[in-house]
Amino acid sequence: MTGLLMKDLMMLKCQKQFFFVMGVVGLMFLVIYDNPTLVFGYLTIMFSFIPLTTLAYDDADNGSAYLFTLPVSRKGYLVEKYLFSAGFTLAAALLTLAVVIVACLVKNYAVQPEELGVMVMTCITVSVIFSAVSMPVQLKFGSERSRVAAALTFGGLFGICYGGAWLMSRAGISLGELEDALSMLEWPAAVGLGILLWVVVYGVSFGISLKILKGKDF
Amino acid sequence: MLCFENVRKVYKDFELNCSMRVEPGCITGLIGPNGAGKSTAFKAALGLIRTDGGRMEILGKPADQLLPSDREQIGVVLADSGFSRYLRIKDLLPVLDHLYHGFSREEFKQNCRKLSLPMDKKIGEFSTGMKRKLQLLAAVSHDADLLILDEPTSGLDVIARDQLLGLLREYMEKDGRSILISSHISADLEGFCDDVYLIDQGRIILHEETDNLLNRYGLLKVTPEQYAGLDQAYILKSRREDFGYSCLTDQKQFYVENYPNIVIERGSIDELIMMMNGRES
Repeated sequence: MTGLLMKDLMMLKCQKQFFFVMGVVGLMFLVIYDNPTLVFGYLTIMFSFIPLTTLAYDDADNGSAYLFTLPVSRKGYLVEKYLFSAGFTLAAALLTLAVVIVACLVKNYAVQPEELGVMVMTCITVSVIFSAVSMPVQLKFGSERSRVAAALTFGGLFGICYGGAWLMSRAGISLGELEDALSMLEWPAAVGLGILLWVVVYGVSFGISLKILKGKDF
Repeated sequence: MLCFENVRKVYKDFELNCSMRVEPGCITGLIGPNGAGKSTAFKAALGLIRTDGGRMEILGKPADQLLPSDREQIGVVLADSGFSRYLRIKDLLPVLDHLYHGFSREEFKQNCRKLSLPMDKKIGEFSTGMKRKLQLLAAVSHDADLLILDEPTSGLDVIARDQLLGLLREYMEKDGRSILISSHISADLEGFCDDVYLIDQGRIILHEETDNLLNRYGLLKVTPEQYAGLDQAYILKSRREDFGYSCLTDQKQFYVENYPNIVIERGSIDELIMMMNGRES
C-alpha cells in the first residue's frame, strides 16, 4: 500500500497548476470578503476533488489493467484510495483552518469558536459525502462517463434530501427543532457524532466500491 | 510455473478455451494472429478478467488465491497498458521500491542508462519503444521467477526488438526462471522460445518444442501428380495451390529420404499457422 501511496503523491505533482489557482482564488476571497471564514468551505471542498483525480489518472489509457498486475490487491487499492482521500481532506481542512485563523487575526475579525467549529464540521462532512459518492461512481463508470453519472447521482441525492425534508414536515418533525437539538450537544459529542458519520459514510462507500471493483474486468 | 487446464472465457462473439503449461527454466511462446486470444489468456492468468471455467495455477497456487506477496514473483508486460503517462522514471523509483522487496534501485537506474531511457521525462512523452523497454525493465528488475509478457516487441523496430530479447536472455541466465511470451511476430520467438503454443480463435491448435517445429516440420510443395503418389501418413494438412498442393508434415525427413524430387521447405511458424487454420496465403 505504501507503493500506491507514493504513486498518488507523485501524481499530485501533476496538479501544481490546480493548487496554484486554488491558492490565488483563496487569497482573493480573503482580500475581498470581510469574513475570512468563507474561504474555508471553498478550499476544503475543492481540495476534496484532488484524491478523486488519482482514480482518473490510474484509469487513463487503460492503466488500471497494468496496476492490478503489480503486487496490490483490489481491496488494498481501495483502502489506499479511501485513506488517501480522508487524510488529504483532513490535512487540507487543517491547513485551511490555520490560514483562516491567521487571516482573522490579521483582519481583526472576531469569529466565535462555536461558529467556526460548526463551519469546519459541516464543510468536512460535505467533502466526505462528495468523495464517498464520487468514488464508486468513478469506479463504475470510468473517468469519461463518471461526470454525467456523478451529476445524476448528486441530483438523486438532492432529491432524496428534499424528499426526506418534505416527509419529515408531513410527519410533524420540524427541521428547526432538529437543528436546535443538535446545537445543544456538547462539543466532544458533536465532534464524535461527526466523525462517526464520516466513518459510516466512508464505510458504506467502501463496501459499494469494493463490490464494483471485484466484479470489474480489465 | 504456470498451468492452464481447460480455461474458458466466453464473450459475445469469441470464446477462449485453452490448456497450456510453462515449465520451470523454460521460455514458452504463445503465438497466434491478431484476435486469437493471446491477451485474453494472459489477462485470465493475471486475474484481470474472470473466467467461466477451468483451472489456473501460477507458482503452484490457484490464480485466484494469489496474494500481493506472490505477485512480487511475477513480472508483467501488457500489450495495451502500462505506467501512468503522467509519471517520470524518477517518480517510479520509490513506487517500485515500496512495491517489490527484491527491487534494486541502482540496477534499475543503470539499466535505464544502458537503454538510454531519460529519468526526467514524462512517460507519456516516450516513444513506443521506450515505453516497452521501461515496462520490461520494471518486469525484470525485482528478481521475479516468472515473466508474463504480452506482445513485448509489438510496434518496435528490429534494433529495439533485439535489445529487448537480449534483456530477456540475460534475465534467463539465472536458474529456475521462466517466461511466457506472446507475439504475432513469429520470427521474434523462433530462435528464443523452448516451446511454442499456437493459438487461433481461442483454441490451442498446436504445441511443440521449437527445435522440433523448425527441424521436423516442413512444407511440401507438390504438383497434382506428385500429390497423387504421396504417402499421406505423415501429412497433417493440405492446401490447394495454383501449382498443385502445399502439405504440412511433422516428418520432413521421411519425405526428404523417400521423395527426393519434391520441393520441401523448412517449417516456419507463420506457415504453420496458415496451414493449421486452413486460411489461404
